Parts: sequence; structure tokens; C-alpha cells
Amino acid sequence: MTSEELPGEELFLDRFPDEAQVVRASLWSAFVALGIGALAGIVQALHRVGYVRFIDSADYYTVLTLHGVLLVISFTIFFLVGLFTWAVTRSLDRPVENIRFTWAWYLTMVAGTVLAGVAILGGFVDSIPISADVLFTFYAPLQAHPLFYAGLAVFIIGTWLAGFDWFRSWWIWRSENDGRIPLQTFMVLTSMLMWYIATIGVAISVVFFLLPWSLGIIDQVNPLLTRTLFWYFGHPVVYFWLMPAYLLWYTVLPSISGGRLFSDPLARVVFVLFLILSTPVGIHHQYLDPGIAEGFKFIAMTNTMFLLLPSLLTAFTVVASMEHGARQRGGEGYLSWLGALPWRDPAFTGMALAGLMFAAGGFSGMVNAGMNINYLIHNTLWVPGHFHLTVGTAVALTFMAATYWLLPQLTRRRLYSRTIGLFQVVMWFVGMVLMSNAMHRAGLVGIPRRTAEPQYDGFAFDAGLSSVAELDAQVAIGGTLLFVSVVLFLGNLIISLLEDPMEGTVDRSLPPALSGPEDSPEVLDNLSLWVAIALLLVLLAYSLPIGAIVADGGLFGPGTESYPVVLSWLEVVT
Amino acid sequence: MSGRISRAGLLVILAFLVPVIVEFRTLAALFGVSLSVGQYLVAVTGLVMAVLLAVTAWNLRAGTTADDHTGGA
Ligand code: HEM
Ligand SMILES: [Cu+2]
Repeated sequence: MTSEELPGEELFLDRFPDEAQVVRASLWSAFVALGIGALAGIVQALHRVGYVRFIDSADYYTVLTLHGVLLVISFTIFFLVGLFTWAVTRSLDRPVENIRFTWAWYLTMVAGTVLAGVAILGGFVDSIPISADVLFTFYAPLQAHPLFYAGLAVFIIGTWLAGFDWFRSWWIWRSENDGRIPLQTFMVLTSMLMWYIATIGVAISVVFFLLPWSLGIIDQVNPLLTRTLFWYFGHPVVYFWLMPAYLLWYTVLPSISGGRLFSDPLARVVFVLFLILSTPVGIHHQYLDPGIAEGFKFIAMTNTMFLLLPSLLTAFTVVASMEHGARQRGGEGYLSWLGALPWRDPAFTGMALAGLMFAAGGFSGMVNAGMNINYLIHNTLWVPGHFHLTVGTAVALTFMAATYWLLPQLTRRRLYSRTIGLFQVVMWFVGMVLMSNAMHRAGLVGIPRRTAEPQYDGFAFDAGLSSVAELDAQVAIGGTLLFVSVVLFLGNLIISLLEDPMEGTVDRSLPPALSGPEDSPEVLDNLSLWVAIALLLVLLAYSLPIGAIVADGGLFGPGTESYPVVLSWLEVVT
Repeated sequence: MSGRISRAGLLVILAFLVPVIVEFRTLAALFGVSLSVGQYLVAVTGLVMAVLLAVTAWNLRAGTTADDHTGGA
């Protein structure tokens, strides 16, 4: 059975009008964040290289915090909750249980974003005593206004409630239906379980340490402890960004390519592996932190290398599904089937280019993950170079491409211009090749990240095969292309919405996998088992390091009354 | 064999070329060839021309064997 033989599905917005409204609201929130984030991006890119300085260098961290938080917290997660609501509703084919509850978690997330956003923007105005120039990692001793931490906490509570909403739909579905968890719902549930486990770390860090500290309730924190709790969350969060992109690659991309998913069981295995493996690795972001024993870092590195497996499985399954699609469309030969893919469709081309860049990001990620070579690139521009390929392209470009595909079923509007859409995704790819390539190269020669005015003039500096000026030019040109690409994306969407609604329907049915759920072992759907294993691994990876950090540095820092007190006591005695 | 290469397809092919163009000097250095900026510019211009010619040749050939539809590249 091919997709043509399936009846054109009823549009999502006709079948589930209330849910479609929430999905649209979530996506729009994501795109507002994307627009502002991209503006911050171009401002800082041009500032760093010294071409145009719109802001004072003292405000660089305000802009960078805005960029980081809006893009990797607001943009990604708002898109995710919209997409997951769509995926659960359509794959269970049932409305949410209580639409008021659904709006409640959405509004909670909006409230959190506004609180944190106000705190960050306050940094631009000297007369307001509010700022949060702490970057998206908020390492102590950098301190933000309490509003920032409160906003983060509120935002995360919103995502927890959203997860509950989807679990509740599934529980009720399960009581009325037999059989396997539908694939998209399975992906949502495993992602959320991972998210619950991961966010415990950042919740503890924010609620027990950073928020009381910024409120003045406690005098100090143990910075190594809050950093470790952050990265306990910070690695799984990268998979939280990726899993919706994977959901799209597994369940939507095959159909756009004209075929069917190669293997449902493999897709389930991949999501289970992410659930159990993504948390016990966070220490790989802390290879250079003193105070964590090398042995623990080595364990984190080993776990990280295991995480390559699900990504390689994904590469295989997704490419196999695309090949199946191409052959359905008449493609032949060893490689010439590539030509039969729908390259004219921005949804396809965007996702395909995103996947390709993800492969490159995977390679540079292996360098980050290796304990020894990490020392070479740690805290250099290499690192932003890496994650602009992963979250900044694999995820962001997939989301933009998927929006082109989702648009008709969510808004009853056709995309205003497919040509602009195609141009936009290709432009993102080219811009990112330039910017990310230059960032990687700059990092290799030691040019730092998070720096407003890196200075390389007036002395001899060996920038490898090129020169600092050449790398700067690549960053500036690439960044500009990326910014223009976002403008084209948003403009195309807005104009589409201004057009008249279209008549009839579009076929957005998702054909079943070639090897369906009946081929996958039942145990894959045993979510409690996987959660238990995940928690066990967390315990193994983290109990000793955290114990040691607290023993060495104190739960709330080492205390302020150390040597001087002892010395004065000695003086009294003698 | 497959049909003609559309303009969309050409756009994608050129996009794939960008990394090669950007790092062409590195690539050449791997083979022990060090290029000056001038030589580099000539080389990558040549590269792009070669690809454009190849695509044109392909399309001319595909054009003679009819069937130039395909939603493909
Ligand atoms: C318009 C497109 C973009 C441009 C021009 C841009 C530019 C930059 C530059 C130059 C930096 C490094 C600044 C420094 O370390 O001094 C940076 C950092 C960063 N970018 Fe982007 N970027 C763009 C899009 C994105 C996207 C789509 C994402 C994620 C979805 C993203 C996430 C980040 C993050 C998390 C950082 C690190 C912030 C930090 O160090 O605290 N960027 N960006
Ligand atoms: Cu990580």
C-alpha cells in the first residue's frame, strides 16, 4: 500500500479544531522566539568579528543570553510541545481530555518565558535594577535577578504539565484499545520520561540553590554542585531538542519522500536507548572542571560513545526509508535514486539537508566527547560551531521544514511560495556551512567563545591554513545568510496566513512502516522497565561524583568562616 | 535512467559544493598542494563551471531519451 492509495485524511484542524489552536499558539510562540533569537544572533556575530557594533560590548552577555535562552529553551521547546500535542492527538486519534488544562500548561510556559525574558531584557537598561546576564548555562558565581530563575522554574513546570496531558490521553486510550502504543505516541512518551528524569537536576539546582541565593536567603552556593546539576540536565536536554526532529524524520520524512518508514521496531529501540542513555553522560561537559575525579569523567565518556549507536541506527533507518520512497517514485541504480527524491519540496530538502548537517555535527561531537581532544577545543568557538550544526541546524532547520508540511493541516492555508521556501532552506544550509566551518576552525587555533572583542590585530598569530580575517568574514557572511533565511521563513509564513483559506483537503496521511510494530518485541513498550534502568544508570553515574562534590565543597559552598577564624583563635591561645 | 536535473536540483547540488569550495585550500593541502589566493579562486571557479557543464550535458542527454518529467532533481 502506498500513500496514494490511502484516502486523503481529514485536515487536522477540521478533526481537532481546539487542539489545532493550541498547536498553532505553541508554534507561533516558537517562531517569535526564533525571530528575536536570530536578531540577537546576527548582532553578536557582527559584533564579535568587529564589522558592525550595534551594542556596547558591556551588553554582549545580555544579547548572548537572549540568543541562547530564546533559541534553545523557548524556540525548541515551544515547537516541541506543539508538535507533540499534534502527534499524540493524531496518532491516538482522540482529542485531549480537557482543553482548558491544555491551555493552562501552554500559558504557564508563556508566563515562565515572559518572566525570564523580562529579567534578561532588563540588562539593557541601566536604570532598572534587573538583569540576567548569566548565559543559558547560568553558572554560579554569575548571578541573575530572581525573576530569571523563577521564570525558568515556571516554564519547566509548564512542560511537566504538558507531559501529564499526553500521558493522560494515552492512559485513557489504553483502557479502550488493545495493541501497541502508536509509534508517534511512543516517541512522545519516551521523550517525556527522559525529560522528567533530566529536569529533576535543574529543578533542584534552581529551586534549592540558585533562587534562594539570588533572593539573599542563602549566602553562597557550591558552584561545582550547581554546574554538575545543570549538566545532569544539560546533556539530556540536547536529546529533548533532537527527539521531536527524530519524530519528524521517522514518521513524516518517509512519507514526504514518497515511501514508508523502513522499520518501526528500530525506531522504538532508538527512543528507548535515548531514554536510558542520555542522562548518565552529563559529566562529559565538565572534562575540565577541577573537583571531579578523572575516573568519573572516563565513565561519562564511555557512556557517551554508546550514545552514538542510536544516532547511527537513525541514519541507517532514515536513509533506508528515503531510498524506499525514491524507488517508489521510479528511482533506480546504486546512487541515482537520490535524483528521484522530491528536491523541489522545501519540506523534504530542508529535512534532508538538516540530516546531512547532523552527520557533520556528529563528527565534531565525537571530538568534544573524547576526554583528551576535548582539552584542545574546550570553551573555544569550536563548541558553538558544533551545536549550530546540531540544535542550530539538525533541529532548527527540521522544524522550519516541517512547518511547511504542517501548515495546510493546521491553518487551511497553502504555503505562499514554495520557491522562497526552497531558497530559504538552502540558504540556511549554505550560511551554516560558512559560519559553522569558520567557528570550528577558529576553535582549533584557540579563539575563545563568549567573547565580545577577541583581538588578533597587531601581532603574529598562526590561524592554521587561513587567517583570522578570513574566518571572521566567513562568520559574518554565514551569519547574515542565516538571518536573512529566518526573515524569509517568517515572511513566507505570515503572507501564507494572509491568503484566503484553501478549498478541500490535502493528503497528510502517514503510511504504516514496512516492518510494523508487530515485528518489535513487546518488551519495548514496557516503559516502567526502561525508566527503572534509566534511574539505575543515573544512580551509578552520579551518586559518587555528587557525593564527592558535596563532601569537598559543602552543600552550600565551603563556608565563609575558614582560615582567618582559625588563625585568630590560635592568636588568642598563644 | 533518471530524467533531467531541475533548477531546484541544481540549487541543491551547488549547495553541496559550498563546503568543498570553502575548504578547497585545506583539501588541496591534504594532497600536499599549497594554493595562493589567486590560484584558489581560479580553481574553484573552474570547479563550479565544470559542475554546471556536467549538469547541462546530463540534461541534454536526458532530453534526447524523452521522459523529462519526474518530480525529482
Ligand atoms: C541567525 C542565525 C544565528 C546566528 C547568526 C548565530 C550566531 C551565533 C554566534 C556568533 C554565537 C557565538 C557567540 C560567542 O560565543 O561569542 C552563537 C552562540 C549560540 N547560538 Fe547561535 N546563531 C544563530 C542561530 C542559532 C540557532 C538557530 C540556535 C539554536 C536553536 C543557536 C544557539 C546558540 C547558542 C545556544 C549559543 C551559545 C550561547 C552561549 O555561549 O551562552 N543559534 N550564535
Ligand atoms: Cu552533552
